[in-house]
Amino acid sequence: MRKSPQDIRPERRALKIFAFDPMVARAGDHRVTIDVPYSKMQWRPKGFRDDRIEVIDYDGANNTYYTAIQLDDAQIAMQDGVEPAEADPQFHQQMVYAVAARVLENFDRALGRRVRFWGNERLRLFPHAFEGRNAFFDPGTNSVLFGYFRADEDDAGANLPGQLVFTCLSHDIVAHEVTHAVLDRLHRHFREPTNPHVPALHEAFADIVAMLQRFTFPEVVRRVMSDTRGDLLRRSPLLEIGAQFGAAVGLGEALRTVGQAPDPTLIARTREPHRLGRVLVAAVYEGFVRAFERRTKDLIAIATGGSGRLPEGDLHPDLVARLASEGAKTAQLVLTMVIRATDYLPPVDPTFSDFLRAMVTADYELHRADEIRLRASMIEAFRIHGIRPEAVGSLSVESLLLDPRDPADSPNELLAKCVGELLHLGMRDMKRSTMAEKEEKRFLRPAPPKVESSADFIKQQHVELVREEDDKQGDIDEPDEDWADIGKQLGLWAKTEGTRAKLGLDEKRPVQITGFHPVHRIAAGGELLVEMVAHLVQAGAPDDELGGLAFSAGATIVAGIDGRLRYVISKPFSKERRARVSEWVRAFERDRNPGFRELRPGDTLREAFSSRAMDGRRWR
Amino acid sequence: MSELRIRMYNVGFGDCFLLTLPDDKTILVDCGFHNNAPGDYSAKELVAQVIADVVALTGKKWIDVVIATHRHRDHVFAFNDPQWDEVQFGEVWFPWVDNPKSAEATKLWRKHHAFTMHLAAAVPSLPIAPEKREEIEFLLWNAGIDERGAPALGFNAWSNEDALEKLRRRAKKRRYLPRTRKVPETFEPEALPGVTVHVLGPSRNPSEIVEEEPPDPQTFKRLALNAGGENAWLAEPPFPPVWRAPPDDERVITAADEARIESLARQADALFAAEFVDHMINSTSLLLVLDIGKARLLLPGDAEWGTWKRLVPGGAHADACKELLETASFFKVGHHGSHNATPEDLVKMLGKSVPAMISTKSGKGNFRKGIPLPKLLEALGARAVRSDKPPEKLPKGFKRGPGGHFIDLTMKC
Repeated sequence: MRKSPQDIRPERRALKIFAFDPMVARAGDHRVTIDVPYSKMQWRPKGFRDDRIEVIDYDGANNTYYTAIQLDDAQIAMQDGVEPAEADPQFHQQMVYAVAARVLENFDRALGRRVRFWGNERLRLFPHAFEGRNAFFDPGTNSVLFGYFRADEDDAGANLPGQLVFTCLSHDIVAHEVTHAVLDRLHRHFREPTNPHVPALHEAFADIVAMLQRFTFPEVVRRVMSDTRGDLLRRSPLLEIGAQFGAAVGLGEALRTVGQAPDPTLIARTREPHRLGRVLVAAVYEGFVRAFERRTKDLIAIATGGSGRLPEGDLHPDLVARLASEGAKTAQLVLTMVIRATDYLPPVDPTFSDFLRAMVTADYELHRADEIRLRASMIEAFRIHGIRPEAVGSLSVESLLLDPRDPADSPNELLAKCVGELLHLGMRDMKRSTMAEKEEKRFLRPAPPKVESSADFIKQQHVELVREEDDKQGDIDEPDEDWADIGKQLGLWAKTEGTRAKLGLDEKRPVQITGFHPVHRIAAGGELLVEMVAHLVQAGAPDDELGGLAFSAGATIVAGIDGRLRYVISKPFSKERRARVSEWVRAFERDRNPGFRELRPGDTLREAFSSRAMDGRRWR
Repeated sequence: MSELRIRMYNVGFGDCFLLTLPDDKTILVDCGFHNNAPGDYSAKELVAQVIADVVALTGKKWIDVVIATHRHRDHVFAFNDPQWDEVQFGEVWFPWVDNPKSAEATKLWRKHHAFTMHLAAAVPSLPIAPEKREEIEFLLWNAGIDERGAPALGFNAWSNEDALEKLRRRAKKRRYLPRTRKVPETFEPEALPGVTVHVLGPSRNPSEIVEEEPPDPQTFKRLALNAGGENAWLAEPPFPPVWRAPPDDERVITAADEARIESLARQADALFAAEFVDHMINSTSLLLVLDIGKARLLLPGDAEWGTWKRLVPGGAHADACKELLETASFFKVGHHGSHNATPEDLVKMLGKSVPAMISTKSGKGNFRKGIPLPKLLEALGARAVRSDKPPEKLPKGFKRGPGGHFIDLTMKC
């Protein structure tokens, strides 16, 4: 309710986008209006930005800026942004902004904190950065670069042969790439492909977020519920990822379709990360559908007088609306579970098993009572897709939960102080604090070098992952003093005798704090709980025996405000794990280098799984 | 006792083999070499020599079967020579992708044609280190594109099509192999009574020939455009000028960031792209086993790992091909002794006692990639003879021709 005539700041900003790729959208109207949190724009002809996202329409292939849209212009704002159109670059800018803002909002909501980039940097989006069949995240400039290209002349599907296709007009591609950027911010060591699940997880995670996010658009879901009569495993455009893209490059179908029949043996036979990732996407989708069905069982029973069999013909619009609303809610729950899982993942070398356990634990911590049995559905879905949790006794929820620490563990004062201070910072970030609002400082990272070859690009991404083994290096890579202070204290805590051993780390090696976050959640009893999640990494040096990969150890800790450790999720320097990495590198070499060449794996592994190479294969 | 003769001409970096069967039937496998690494012959001399050898043997200008394993210049280039106009061929065998009537093949080539043309157009204007440039030019020349000249734009002019077309016209019968997806596909050619042919490659499945997606053609198009000149037909910016922001307006990103975006937009690994084209063409290579009496000849052309991995242990057709490979009594070493044309498993299956021939030429230059690989030569053992540096004392069955311009292997069959 307004308190004064001056009080006109809107909560949300409505913007039109294509919910499906324009090609699919042509078949029916899939333009939708979505809303994103309102924040004021700063505008220049060469770009516009809010406090976290910056859209710069620079075409690096043509050395040209396309004029930025003024979203705060009254005429544009009153029609929820400009009309969706393929030929209008300003609509493209509007769409990437809207989708990216929605992804960041989903992360904020799920994580219980505001996602912030290094030094409060903005995430930059270049909707027409280059001509090419790709879109990728460039950590060097904290940017997502979208390409555009002409459709295949021979086999363009429903596109016109030779027509321009814009990757930035695909909701999935935008959401996918922005998710890569955020995951990279949360876990930058996931760039290191120490096992096939790591790049697969990056891809699958980005796909899952893109897919579930679309399920939260009520207009879209209502339509699909009506078309599929509530059967979410039926083929529908919602399940197709990158539809126009797939058709435009001559694949003749959407890049991949989820919801296929599960094959539990696939995962053991597969090393190729995209295919592996698809297994994970399919498993999460299956879990989502199971939860949705459980959630709507009563609804269907009421609607059918208990028979469970829906009548022929169109469903009643009220039923469609209720199903859609349940679908959107379930999607939001699963999305939260999936995103929140990142807080419970080890900071290096994760596997699907780690992800499943992290998901179950994250959900358990958030919703103790699980009325729709989401956790059990998810575990069952993973099982039928052949993803087995490691080192657990059974498939019950209890045994899949990560092991909590002994509550009798003595609290640590230093740790308690860190959590306390972090709480304030987090609140300030969310503008929910009584602390004096501080001018937000922004930091410029050192100018990124030019890229002359793909090898340059790969090297740059890994240079910052590898640390010399000396204590002189800072504990944390963060320019903002307030954040850096807490990081330093955490570093001190990690150095105290016995801490590293307790975390499964090497007592003799230095530790890097690669991230720490405040987490707020409501406990079962209704009280607000504040915790801290921190990631500690002991980075190794590039190792020739491991194809140039660095063998690193790390631990994720969850600590309460009382200074007690609640969870420790660690990947220690173990012989077994090293042997696994080595086995994977050798298998990789065997696959592509069968002959009598001197083994020189070097950067080949990284090159094959770099963000750009992965997305390059992914989007074509 | 009937005998079979295999003659390896010392063509340098290339292949040209003449097989003579006991009933004086003749088989010519490839006829070409790379300009940058020739051996003892010019194209004209080579063709004259082959024709003279055939005439000396049979008294006729007739070759029963010609095999063009794949369309690289170092394998088919000399088929362009006018001297062939006087020679007739019984059958000519090509990989299925060289069937001009196959829609599938046309689709496959079209993509690579466009891509390679853009690459060739862009290369002259790219900042590339000299040794890399040499390597790229080597590969493009082999694919039939001389990037220093204007690339021919017509699809038909691409990749040594002229040489193949000559072959097609000279042949009484043409076979495009394999015809089916069966591996191995076996047939008995009428032109060679008593001979059984097993086709192990290339894959009949286009997606197995092009396993990895090619580098993006658009990038090269764009590069060529930026280089200016005659290539302005290539592309235009995606939006009309009315949408452009005034170039001198206030910066929103630093000059360094702008430069990085540009470098990311333009950076194109031309060498990687050229290698891709090269691998793709090698992947179309015929991989044949010829049963001639008791002899079993393994002729893999330049087949690379993509073709082999289906056949060696762990591959989809390993069981069906095991016996064929294990009992081979002669091996033409693939791709001039390169790293990925001869799997270690294959060498194990063949054993050290099988005679082998490597048509190659070592020397300086990145483009050779250390061909032939010392480790491979070592693994093949003393019965493997290379064309450029044969040992002083040849193993049993091998014989040097006059002036050392060719080497014969005679084997019982």
